[in-house]
Amino acid sequence: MTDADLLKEFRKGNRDAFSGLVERYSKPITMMILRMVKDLEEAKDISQTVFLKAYEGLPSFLMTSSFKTWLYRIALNTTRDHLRKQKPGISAVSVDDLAGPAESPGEQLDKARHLRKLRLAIEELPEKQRLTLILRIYEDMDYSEIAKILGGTAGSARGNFFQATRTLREKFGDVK
Amino acid sequence: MKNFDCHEVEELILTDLDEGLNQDKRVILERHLAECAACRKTWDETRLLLSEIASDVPEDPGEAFWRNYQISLEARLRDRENSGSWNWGFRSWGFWWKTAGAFALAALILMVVSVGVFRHWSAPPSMEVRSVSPDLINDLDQLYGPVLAEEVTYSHGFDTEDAHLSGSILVTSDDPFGEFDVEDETNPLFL
Repeated sequence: MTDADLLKEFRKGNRDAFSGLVERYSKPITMMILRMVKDLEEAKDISQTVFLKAYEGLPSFLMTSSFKTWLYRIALNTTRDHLRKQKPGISAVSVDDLAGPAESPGEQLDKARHLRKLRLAIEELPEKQRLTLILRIYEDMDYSEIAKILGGTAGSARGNFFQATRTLREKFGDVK
Repeated sequence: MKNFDCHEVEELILTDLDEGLNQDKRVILERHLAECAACRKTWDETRLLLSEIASDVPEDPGEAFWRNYQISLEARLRDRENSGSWNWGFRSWGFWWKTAGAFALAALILMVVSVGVFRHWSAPPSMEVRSVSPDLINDLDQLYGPVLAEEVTYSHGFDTEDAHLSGSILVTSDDPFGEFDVEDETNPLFL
């Protein structure tokens, strides 16, 4: 069944249809939120709030856009609100973590530290570039879908993705 | 073929690693990379960076987590539904459809009744005679000739066996007998 079929069923009063939508999207939405908040329980709570909002908003959802982009828009806005409410300075990946146990040798540790730095660099990207990168790489969305979620055009979404990649490469690569 | 500078090639590299290039642009990129060490390095670094980002996937919390997720979400949905005002919004779909349907039906009935009443009031008075018997027409033809162009008004109606005729009829011409053949009594076929 497509999303549109499930929505039609839901509007007829079939509550199970909404469970179908939850089953389909709960995992990717929660994992995307987890990437941003870095705490599984927080991600679960925010993700469930997203579905509650969707349930509440479905009667007024006109299906002019796809359910998927609509849901992701709710998810990103809810996560953004959550992060704004957090005390500034508190981050799941703090700068202190990056220092790590410098005395620990080993390739694995270096790799882990590199990944932490990369995550921090992604977090430091301007919001639109960061979200575009996440939606493009992890959610495998095309630029028109990203534009529908974040606003703007497919071209500007593409530009944001390229700029984010350029910035990260310049930070991590020994470029030119 | 146009020679691309390193800045333009960087766009090609990003496009190639992101969505892929068409054959023509791929040839341009490969030619440039074969000659330019800096762009080859950019290509390698970008490819490595994107694969690192893509591989940094949080660990799946497992089946138990997702089961618990579903159960606790169901509970939160039930709580919200039982809280009242929010529930009304969900149920209002059926309500609004039924209300809209009732309004549409009422509007249709009102329209039909209005048209009927309007027609009844504005209709012309009914004619006394709806049809004239062929015999009567024949009699009139005998008297006035076949109907053609001129309108003759009978001020007084007259009765026949079939109908009461009043109003107007059309006759053929000024000469009521002009259209009749004059029968020749000398003709052997004349009865």
